[in-house]
Amino acid sequence: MRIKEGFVLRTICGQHVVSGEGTANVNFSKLVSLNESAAYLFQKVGNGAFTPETLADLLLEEYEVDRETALKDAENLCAQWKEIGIAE
Amino acid sequence: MEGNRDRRVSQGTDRQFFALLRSGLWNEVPERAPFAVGTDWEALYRLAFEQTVVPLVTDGINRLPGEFLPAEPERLDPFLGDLMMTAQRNRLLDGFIPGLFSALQGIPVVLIKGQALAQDYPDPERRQPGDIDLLLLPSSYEAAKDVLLPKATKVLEEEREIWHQGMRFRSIEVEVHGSIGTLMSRKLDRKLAALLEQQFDGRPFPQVTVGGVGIPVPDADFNAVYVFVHFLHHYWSGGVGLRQFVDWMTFVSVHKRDIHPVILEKRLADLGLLRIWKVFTGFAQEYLGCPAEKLPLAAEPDAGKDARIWRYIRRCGNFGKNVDRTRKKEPFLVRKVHSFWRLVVADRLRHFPVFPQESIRFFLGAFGYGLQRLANGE
Repeated sequence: MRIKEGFVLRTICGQHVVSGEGTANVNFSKLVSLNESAAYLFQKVGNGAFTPETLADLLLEEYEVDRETALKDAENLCAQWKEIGIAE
Repeated sequence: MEGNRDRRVSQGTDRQFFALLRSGLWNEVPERAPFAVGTDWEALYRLAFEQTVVPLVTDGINRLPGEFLPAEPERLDPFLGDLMMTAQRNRLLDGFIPGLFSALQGIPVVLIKGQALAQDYPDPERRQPGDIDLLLLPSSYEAAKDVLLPKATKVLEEEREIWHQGMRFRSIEVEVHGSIGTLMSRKLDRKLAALLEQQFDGRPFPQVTVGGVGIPVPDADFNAVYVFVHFLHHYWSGGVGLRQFVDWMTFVSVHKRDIHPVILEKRLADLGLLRIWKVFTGFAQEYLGCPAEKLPLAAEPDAGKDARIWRYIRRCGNFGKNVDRTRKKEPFLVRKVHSFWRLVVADRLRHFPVFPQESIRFFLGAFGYGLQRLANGE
């Protein structure tokens, strides 16, 4: 899985927002706000490929959380990003 | 009592709105004092939306210290959503324009208004876009239609008397204009038609980069007058949003060095618009924070006139959207009497204290045009 080309994270008015900035994303009409941990993961994965396991590892590096919870959160996040259309 | 409180809230929102708009326009940290009393974010969004300047205001919010932002971040979602959508829409329109001009190769045509003026904004993606406007001479009008209409996904109703043809290319609306008439006064429109002829006298046009390609636009001397007249036409005839005012102010402040002051003054005086121009330069300074030295032919602000101008713009909203126009089901004559009253009499009475001579002049001009349209059954 990876973040689709053209989607970038911006911090505006104190909020982390994903915006579709490529010409391929001109019809993307959703406002995607990320919380702190999701924004951290979005930045960390950049343009690279990732799996729920990769994200869980990143969460364990930054937050005090057990592996099972981190993996569950990471799986949910991957599913959400795919459903919203910012990851493929 | 309730009314007083409403007015105080409204004035507070107005002050916050202008503090944020000025911040967005001039890349400055917004004034903090208006936010000390708390912010009605919904009212602020509504005002920015009505005036079609949400992205500029959002830029201002982005510069506010955290303590002035709402405790519930989702209250800013409408601002952020509009900011994102505006940027995307601008990219869509800008990407479409080079192909449009390529199709019209060989026909003298320039890009006007929206996407051309957006390039002068602090960030071109912050201007809320509408359609794509093309300007040419009446003699090129049919040729442009012949090229574009077969490619359009929808052809809109033509307004032949003002050389205006709209069309859609999926979600993108394009308007071809063969005239810059205002329907405010025949004399004014005749002089504007002569200016348009001069503009297309065979000299090469300046270009702005849109969608990565150089696109022809009118020269700065013409555009300073045209953008002003376009704004004025809407101001005078039913409503204008601050976006159009910002378009004019931004254009003349960015291009001040390209605008010849003697030519501008002569043209405005000839069109009978010099006094109005000067009053609006005062409003630009007083409400939008534009330094006088950035404005050609700037005059001192007049607090009373400026307040009246803002009250009128606030009441009308962009293109008069705040004014009731749902009278389509009424009989023809009732509608005509109502629109005559509102557009020709009531609005001009409101303009009278600020522009007394011009109100009389344009009242007579609109009256003449109105009678002709009535006679034509339009």
